[in-house]
Amino acid sequence: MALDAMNDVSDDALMVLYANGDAQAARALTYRHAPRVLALSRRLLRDMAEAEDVAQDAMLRLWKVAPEWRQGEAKVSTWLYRVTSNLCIDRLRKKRGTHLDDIPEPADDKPSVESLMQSHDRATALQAAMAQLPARQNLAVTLRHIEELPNPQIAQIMDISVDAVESLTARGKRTLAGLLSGQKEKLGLE
Amino acid sequence: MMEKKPDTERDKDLAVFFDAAKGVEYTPSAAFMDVVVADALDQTDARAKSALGQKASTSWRVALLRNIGGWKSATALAASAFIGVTAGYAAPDALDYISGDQTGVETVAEDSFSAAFDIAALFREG
Repeated sequence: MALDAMNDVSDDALMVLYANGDAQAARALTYRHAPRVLALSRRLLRDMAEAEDVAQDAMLRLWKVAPEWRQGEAKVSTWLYRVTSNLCIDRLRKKRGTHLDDIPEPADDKPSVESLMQSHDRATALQAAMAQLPARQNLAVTLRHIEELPNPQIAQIMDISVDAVESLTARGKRTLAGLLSGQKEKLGLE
Repeated sequence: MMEKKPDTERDKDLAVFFDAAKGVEYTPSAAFMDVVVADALDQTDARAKSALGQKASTSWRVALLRNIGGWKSATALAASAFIGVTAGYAAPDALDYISGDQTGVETVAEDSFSAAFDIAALFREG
């Protein structure tokens, strides 16, 4: 079956096909999910090489679990977000304390580059601020406000209640607001 | 002390930053996608090899069982072997009886017949 022809095939069906040795199903699952897994890893870890390691590891775990995949029990995307989140949090916790001082300052503290777009500056400033949040607050805010996932799905990914998700995101946003408030003028927001 | 802002105003301020972050795309390289697909195919190969190994190791047992005539024959063969070995070790005297060396019973029987013959002769003779 051609790759395009698999666009309408559900993730569960692709998992069954892949478990039965279908290479096209593996390609379809990769093109459907690997970019999102990589983006989440990159946002949380702020390092592309590390993000690729984590994304590859998460996808490898998906390939390994395929023969035992129970259809209808979990969404492939939720399962992958969960594995990726856990792998990233492990890495973030290992880095905390030793590398906190190495977190780059927002771009605005560096000499201004005219060609740099303002939105890129804001994104960089946000990333730097988010890196200072506790790992789970960072994850909850990323999933809710950047990946735009609904709270119940975030609760599944993080294995917590919806109330706990709301509490984590609220605390995270409060801290972010404090961290970013001093940079609004530089970022063209006042 | 930091001025406290209402949640809605704070969210509005942060939304600008979140929108900017959403606009940043992290497109995976072709090399990365190739590595992920290669991992998937490696796993498929590993599973296929493992399944073949299991099939091969099962097939010689199945062939052996088939050659000796199935489960019933195998059970009968095992039972016969067990009885044979047990008889050999547990009752060596019985082997004398089978080979004809057990003379005690024959002696008693011969004596009984002799005695009966003698009594009959005595009655005839008075």
